[in-house]
Amino acid sequence: MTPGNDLGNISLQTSQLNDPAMKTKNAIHSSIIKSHSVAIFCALFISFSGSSVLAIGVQEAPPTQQEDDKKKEKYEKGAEEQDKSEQDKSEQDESKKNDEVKDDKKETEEKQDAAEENTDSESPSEGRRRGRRSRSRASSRTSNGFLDAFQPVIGPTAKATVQIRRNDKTIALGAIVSADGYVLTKLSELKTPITCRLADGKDVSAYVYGVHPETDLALLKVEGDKLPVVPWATEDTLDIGNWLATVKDGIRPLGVGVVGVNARLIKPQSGFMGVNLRQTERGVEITNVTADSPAQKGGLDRGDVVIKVNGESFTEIDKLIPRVKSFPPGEEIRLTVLRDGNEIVADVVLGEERSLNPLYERSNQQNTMGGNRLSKRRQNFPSAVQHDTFLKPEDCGGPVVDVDGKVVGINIARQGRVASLMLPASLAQKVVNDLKTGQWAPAVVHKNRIDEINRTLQDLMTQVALSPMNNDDLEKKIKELNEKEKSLREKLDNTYRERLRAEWEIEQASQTFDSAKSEIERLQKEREKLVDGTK
Amino acid sequence: MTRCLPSRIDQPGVRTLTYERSGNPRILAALCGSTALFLFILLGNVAFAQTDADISEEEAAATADKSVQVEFDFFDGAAPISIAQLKQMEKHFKELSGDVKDATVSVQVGSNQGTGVIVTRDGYVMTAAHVIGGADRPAIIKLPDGTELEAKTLGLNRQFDSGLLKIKAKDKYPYLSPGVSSELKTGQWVMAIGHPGGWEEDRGLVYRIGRILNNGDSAISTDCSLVGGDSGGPLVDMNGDVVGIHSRIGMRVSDNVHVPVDVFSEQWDDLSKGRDWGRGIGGVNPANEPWIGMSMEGDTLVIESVVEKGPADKAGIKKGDRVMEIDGVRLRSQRRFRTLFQRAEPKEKLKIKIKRDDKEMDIEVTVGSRKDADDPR
Repeated sequence: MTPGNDLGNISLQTSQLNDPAMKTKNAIHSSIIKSHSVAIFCALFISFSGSSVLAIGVQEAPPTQQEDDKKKEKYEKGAEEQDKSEQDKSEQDESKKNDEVKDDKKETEEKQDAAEENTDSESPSEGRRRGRRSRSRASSRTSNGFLDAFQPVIGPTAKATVQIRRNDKTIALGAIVSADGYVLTKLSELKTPITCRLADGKDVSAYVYGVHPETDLALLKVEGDKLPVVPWATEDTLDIGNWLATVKDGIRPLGVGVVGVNARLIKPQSGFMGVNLRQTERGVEITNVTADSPAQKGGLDRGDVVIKVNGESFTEIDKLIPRVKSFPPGEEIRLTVLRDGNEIVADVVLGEERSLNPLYERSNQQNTMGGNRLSKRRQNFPSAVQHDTFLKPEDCGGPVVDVDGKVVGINIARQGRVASLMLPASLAQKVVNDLKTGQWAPAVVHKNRIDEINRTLQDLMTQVALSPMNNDDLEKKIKELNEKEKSLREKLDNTYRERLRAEWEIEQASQTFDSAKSEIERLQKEREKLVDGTK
Repeated sequence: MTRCLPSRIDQPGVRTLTYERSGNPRILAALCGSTALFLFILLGNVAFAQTDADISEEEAAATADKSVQVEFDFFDGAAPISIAQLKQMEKHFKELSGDVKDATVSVQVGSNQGTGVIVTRDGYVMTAAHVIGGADRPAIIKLPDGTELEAKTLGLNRQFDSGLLKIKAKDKYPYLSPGVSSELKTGQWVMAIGHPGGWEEDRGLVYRIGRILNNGDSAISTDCSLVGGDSGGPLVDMNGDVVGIHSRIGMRVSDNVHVPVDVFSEQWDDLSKGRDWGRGIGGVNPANEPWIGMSMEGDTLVIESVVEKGPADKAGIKKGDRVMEIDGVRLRSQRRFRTLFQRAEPKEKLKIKIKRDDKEMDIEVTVGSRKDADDPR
């Protein structure tokens, strides 16, 4: 069954239903010509099925109740006549119809995208005035009328929410966590140099004070001494069904949702080879290699016995599997296998399990369609609450409040079509305290990584020195690590430079401030003298 | 009594009571200073199954004098306008999520995985037609606690995407009652439950809140975001009654379509008897795809060949005949013939006018099914 046939079937089908919500493609076609505001969409199955096709029909976006009633009336009155006239029309140009419907759909989507971009590029004041979701229908959960209910409680948080900006674009939101200018945000969206736009619209320069890769949080520092601070919730009482409002800078939340899943560990995605293994006396034997899998591409074969992973020896399947899974997708690992009594090495670039599985592939497509962009990092968090607020990746990093206006968490990722993730307040606060110590300064973190690479280098060099065999592999590895070290060093230098520059800027600003202050004092004194003189 | 609801009643029609308890909307709206429909419910000893017509003004005033708390009615789609109202809803969501949890199950049929909801004590499970894919197939139902139960697929209407299963083991199962989807109003609050992305042991069910955007006879749309794996899961109203079954999604996150539960209620007999019918969203059952057993030359309406003992052959259609009309509709193209023929149901009698040797004649064809063509007897 081809998708094309399906389109045909659907239109036949829907034309038989006396239901205005599902009309024939002919009707859709004409309605698109009539009005640009009619959005059509491709209806997709939402189960997992190995066999069915994806696109199953073109449907008109649900009409409003009024339109609906009007159409119903019209439909009921002249259902038959209308049907016939449509049939006649269809006969004339049916051959073009499918293509046209597709084109129109594309066009409509493009328009939607363009409209969304326009919204994004608005000046912040415009954005605030008009409201981000101004296109939403009055009866939806993103309607302004509904969002406004949160107005009485979000003020204090909105005042302490900042936009992290780079190249005149907001790349993340952040929460001011101390009056002297510490701002919490999402790490993986950051790319320096950045500025922070405070709630009053003022842009201030910021530098990265600390990074916490485990939770993907970063602590920024901006100049300030009496900044408003987010009101953290003091106890953790969240449960399924709790309202959650994501705050930006206005008096209206950016979006509202509910807790859909309580806080849980979000596991990392693990690397995937595509082999079946079994324990034998000789070691761990490959019993099957999946077609087109990373393992096959790396040259592994059925019957190979895996003895080493990146030089580390393995004899037990229970130890080998977790080790391979500990590498993330995209990482290249070197396996040493026994084949016909010879040791053979195979470099395998680990993939995502999902990429090979058509079921997951579809889920991936559904998660990102319609311009629903996902955060780059959306897995691997020690604890996160899942909620259903519609967010964009750049909406993450900022505070989320409950109905009392208390900050119950920090949005950490847009994970999928139905899921946004939030780090609980208690965890976020703990990380803030850790980061404030300065031990997690980017320079320190980079340095630790460099030290680790250096240690690995040392180990490998020792191995090279001790081994009489061919060392090409090790040399290659050493070269790679050298390059990694070089890039990390550059990063480290950059970070230092940025920090120095930021400090210099602050220094300059305070000097200007001081000289202005003394100038004012001088003028005041002169004025006093003059006043005295006139007396 | 905090939920101000009549206790759950199992017959669908009775649910109408829930919606009859509104006051005079105009007056109430004026009270709110808004044109939106806000309905106030007085807590206390008022019987909420009664309509307001049953409560005299004096009675209402007396109740108000006792000064009971004023609540707003989000059951009918009112949007909250204060923190107190948000809290009232939140409290209700929490209770509701607990109420609906046990009856929402994972459904696995062959390689298809979706969600379902138990709707009777003896284990009938509503799901989507495209999740079960056919009648009389073995299925696995997984309860939220991980217990796996054997089940069998019953009927499915592929036109609406409604499907039914039955758990095999005789037992008393937690269940949710079907509501009345035709009475859903635009803006009404609903909760969607399911296993998005499939069953995940360390995550479990995922709850989402949304509102009715449109309520049609064959499809309900909401802004409860859905994704693969949710199919077949329940959309419940604020009473905790099943009003829809998740079916499909559109491009935007706010385009989510559910099968109205009335479709199940109205076709319950056919579904429970294992009937597989309809064409469309849930695919086509070959047994329901019309088949005539003849081919035409190129783009013409001239018969090129007929399948021996096929419907056309049995009716007397021969090679070289030209098809003129189908059920009284004059034909100008082969495409039109196909379009019209596709609407026929197997076993239906179709009148076809043909031209043979310059003579027109009417022939009655009993439509066959694709299944017969694939599996000739």
